[in-house]
Amino acid sequence: MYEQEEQKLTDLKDRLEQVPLPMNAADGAILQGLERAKREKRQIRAKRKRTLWSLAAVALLVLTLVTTIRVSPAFAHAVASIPGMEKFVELIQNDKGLNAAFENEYYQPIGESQTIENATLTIDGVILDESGMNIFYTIESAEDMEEIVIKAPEMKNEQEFPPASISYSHPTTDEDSQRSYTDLLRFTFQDPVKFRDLNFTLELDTVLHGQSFDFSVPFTIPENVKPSVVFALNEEVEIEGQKFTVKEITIHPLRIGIRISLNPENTMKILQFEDIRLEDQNGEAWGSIANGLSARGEDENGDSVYYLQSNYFETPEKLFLRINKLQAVDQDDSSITVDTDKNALLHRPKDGRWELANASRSGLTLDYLHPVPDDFNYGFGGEVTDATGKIVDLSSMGTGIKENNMQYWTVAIRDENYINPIKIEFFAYPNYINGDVNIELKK
Amino acid sequence: MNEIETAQRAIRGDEESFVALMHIHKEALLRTAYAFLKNEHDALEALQETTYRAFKNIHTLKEPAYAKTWLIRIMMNYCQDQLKKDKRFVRDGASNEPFITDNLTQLELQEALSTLSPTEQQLVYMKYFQEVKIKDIAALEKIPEGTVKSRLHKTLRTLRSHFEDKGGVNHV
Repeated sequence: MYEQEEQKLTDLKDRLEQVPLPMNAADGAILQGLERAKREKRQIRAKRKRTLWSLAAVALLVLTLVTTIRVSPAFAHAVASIPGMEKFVELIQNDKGLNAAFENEYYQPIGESQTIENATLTIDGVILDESGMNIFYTIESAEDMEEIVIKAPEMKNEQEFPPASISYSHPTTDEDSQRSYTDLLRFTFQDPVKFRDLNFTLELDTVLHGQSFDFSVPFTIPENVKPSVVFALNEEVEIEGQKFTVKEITIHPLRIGIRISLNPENTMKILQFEDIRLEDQNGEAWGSIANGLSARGEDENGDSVYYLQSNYFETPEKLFLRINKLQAVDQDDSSITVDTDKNALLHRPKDGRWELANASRSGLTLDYLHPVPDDFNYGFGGEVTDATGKIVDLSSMGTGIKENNMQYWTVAIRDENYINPIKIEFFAYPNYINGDVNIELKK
Repeated sequence: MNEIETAQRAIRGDEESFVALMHIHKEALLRTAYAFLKNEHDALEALQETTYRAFKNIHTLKEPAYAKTWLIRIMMNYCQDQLKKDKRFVRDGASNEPFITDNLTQLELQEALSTLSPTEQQLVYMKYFQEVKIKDIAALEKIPEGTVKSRLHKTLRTLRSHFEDKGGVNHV
């Protein structure tokens, strides 16, 4: 019917096929495209890790409320001797390690600032060690700042800044408007780092009184880090038949990192170490980080790292790692499986405490039909994976309380491109096992 | 390893197989880019972009047998976006870039093709330039074969009317 047109098209095709193509350059183009995609995937993965850590950080942030305020005279004196430090007292007083860092003059004053129109960002000072960097900063404005929005901070250095979890406060908006705001940015590095070059730039995007201010403040840290102290233990211990290996304890000025790997043959999945701490010969204890990142999830080797307040500047005669209480659930009870297309709960812990309230491709809500203990200050949620084992990209996850005082758990899914059913792992669960782990740390 | 096995492994996330898959189809992809963008430099950039998009989305490719057409479609989408965006390419066919033919009929045809909608262009390209079977186009687009056929007819009719308007250049 259209033979003439078809013939013309075929002729053009033949002609097109005679065009010489740059086949050698093609290989380069393929390689470049691939590299670009891989780079981006890595970044996304790093970001995702960050989100997971921040879940842990948020969970532990709640603990701050029950910590009593205690300012030692030595600390008060140390702080008073640094001009402008009073404003930070509240932010650091419930971390023994941070107190000690000040008492031992490990805080390094900086005083660099940038002014954009009527707003100024000042980096007051920094505490740097191999595990992280705490940045003490102040934002001042000539106008009242009714709402202060701090967007994700970024750090630049001559070497690539390592993947880090960042914790910082979200300024409260219910207070009277203010002209000065102080806070701490806490970077916790994924792996210990020692920077060759101590010139950094902090990039902080903010919104103040409805206007965007993108600050970029270069600063130099005067002195490099004090070396961290490592205790290699590799000791396997047991609580109610559940085994785990304490691989290594590293004492940094800002925090203590305890590297633990769980025995894959455990019948229960250990979720949280409730009271993990270091104790000296007199029973003085250094417990979990009360305000900031408290733990880091499993890495590729299956190791988790728990962070404690530091005793770097102390010199106890003896030091012990103590653990008495763990959150753990039977392996089979460590997750919930839901088919969001069929609105069906396919698997749940055998305690029968869970019911599916609703589900669709964009998310789901589960009801927890059991009272939650008062000292359970965690969110339930961990990683969500689809039928192929791919991590499902979430926009949020959280727990709430209904009128009848029961909790519910919502999971909102950002990327609906997943295959049912999806599996939701528990991050924490109010089910406990008890024992007595007591390991002496020997130099 | 044959083409389908390579595609299967690539879908499962094997990077080496993905690269192998790109090498199997690079000539077809580059030719596609050339047909639309008409110069070497842009064609290579298009190949880079196609590799990038394909690697990111390879898990969404359901049927390994359609890997080639899937890749070509990514390429065509990119090229058409570029043409839309970039004012350097003049859409009436009188491109200011050196062109691949001095044959008047073929110039005419290219002009006619450029007046088609993006979907029609892709259809013609798949059918006549890549010689993809109607059955496969239907499967790929998830539409009945009959629909592909009637769209193809409509498109050829448009091309014919274009030539008729021009008044018989094809008879020269």
